[in-house]
Amino acid sequence: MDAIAQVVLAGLIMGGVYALIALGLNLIYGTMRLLNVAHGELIMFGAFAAYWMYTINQLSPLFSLLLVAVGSALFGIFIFFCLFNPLLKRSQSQDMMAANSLLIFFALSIIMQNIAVFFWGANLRSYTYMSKVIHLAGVPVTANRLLSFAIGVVLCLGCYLLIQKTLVGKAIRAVIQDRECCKLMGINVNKIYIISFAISFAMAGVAGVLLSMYYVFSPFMGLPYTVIAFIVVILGGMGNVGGSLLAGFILGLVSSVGTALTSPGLESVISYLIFILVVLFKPKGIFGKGF
Amino acid sequence: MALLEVKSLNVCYNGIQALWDVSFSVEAGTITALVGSNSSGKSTTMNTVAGLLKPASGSILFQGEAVTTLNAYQRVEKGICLVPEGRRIFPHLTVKENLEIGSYVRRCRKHMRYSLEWVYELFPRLKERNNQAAGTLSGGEQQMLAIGRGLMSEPTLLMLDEPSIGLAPVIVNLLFDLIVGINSKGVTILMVEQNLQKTLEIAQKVYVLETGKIVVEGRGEELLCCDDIKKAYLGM
Ligand SMILES: Nc1ncnc2c1ncn2[C@@H]1O[C@H](COP(=O)(O)OP(=O)(O)O)[C@@H](O)[C@H]1O
Ligand SMILES: [Mg+2]
Repeated sequence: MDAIAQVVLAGLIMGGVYALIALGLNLIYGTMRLLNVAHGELIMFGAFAAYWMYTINQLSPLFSLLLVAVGSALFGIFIFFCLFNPLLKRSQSQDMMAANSLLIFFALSIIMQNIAVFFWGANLRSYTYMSKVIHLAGVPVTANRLLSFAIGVVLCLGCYLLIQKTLVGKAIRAVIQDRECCKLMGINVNKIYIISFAISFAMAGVAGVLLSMYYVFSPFMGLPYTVIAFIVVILGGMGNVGGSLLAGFILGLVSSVGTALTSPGLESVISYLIFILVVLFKPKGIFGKGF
Repeated sequence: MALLEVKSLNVCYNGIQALWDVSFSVEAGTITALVGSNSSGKSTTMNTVAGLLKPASGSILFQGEAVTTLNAYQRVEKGICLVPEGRRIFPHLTVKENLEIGSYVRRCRKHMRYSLEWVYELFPRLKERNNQAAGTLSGGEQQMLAIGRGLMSEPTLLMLDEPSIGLAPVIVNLLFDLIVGINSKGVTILMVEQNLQKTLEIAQKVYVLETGKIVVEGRGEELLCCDDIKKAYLGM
């Protein structure tokens, strides 16, 4: 019984992080139809930023979380203005825009990896923060994981409410559905893009901070997370932001249960298996297209 | 001074010219119609006035002010609103959310609640379907929603691109009554229509487009009476 509860809890904790990173990836994909392959590198930078602030300045990750969120959002806005705004103006078609942006994001991911190697070295790193074991209804769990879960859930809920209830959120969903028509509604679509970039980058950075509290990380940790985020986005439906949140938790749970039943080494195999099954049988995601 | 003045508009799609020296004007308070056969450039004209397309040359004056360089969303703020061809409602937003998006511009956000009441009064059907995904509405209801969404931006000039297309005859009659009703509330209307008989009946001014050029202009009744024009340009 306890073993099951432990597996489920581990799945939910992982799911919170998956939901956050997938939400960000899906936001940029949904509004702009661009796939950010550097998403994992943003997570990596978030992790290193937290590490750096904690080990050098004794800044608690709870505080650096805020700094990383703001810093990542600003970085997103900066990248948008420097690289994507000119590209949007110059691109003749969406296809051209998508192809060029893929190159940009790819370059960004390589540059960020190399910056990380240059400054911090290629080693695996970690730090200890709030690693005390708590017994939650008999199930042992480290405090940092619990905290990470709580923050993840709060952020997911916050994002969900923002997108569902506020006028800007409704505008984001409208842009996801028909961006030309949004211009006729008086929506400055560029502004929606900027907001998407800011939220997306911030969520990735925050996810990195949360992960760093209990996982090892290195300059090369990004790609697997980009892949996971991509799988979750496909699961929840491309452009379906709410779907990503749920699908994140589902993937976290399924891979946690799956690895418990088989072996931890099979984690990515299980993720890919789910991915292939969904693409084969539910190519529009498990929730269809409702958003 | 006319509410909208369009002067010598030339518009190209990737180097292929679609509009040639198109000039027309819309007087405040009127219903003005743009008619012509398929591919004659009606939608191109409407989209250029709305700001979705940038003209190669020519100018667009709205309330005496040049809006040619403004983006589409800035023109909505000025009071120009286009209900596009094919309705283009947001299918996964609810009816109410679609309407709320209609009053997204800063000028209208404060009166969103009043505008909602007004639109619901105009289209009671929409109120009944308030919380339903817009994609589940019938064709007629979707057109009502598209027009209602346009009205939410409290436009001075409401542009309708083929509002009656694909609707049952009963609904078409209702729609034309509604357009006249909206116009009588002081909203100037510029419309593109396939239903010529009805359009000529309600429009004060009509422009006929053919292969990207304005070939005839006149008052609606004039064109209705003139059999030569009807035969030559309107296929009636
Ligand atoms: N997006 C587009 N790209 C290229 N050509 C277009 C596009 N839209 C319209 N055209 C061309 O412009 C001309 C006018 O089209 P349009 O304004 O849609 O006509 P209408 O609305 O009167 O049916 C047509 O010859 C059409 O083929
Ligand atoms: Mg047309």
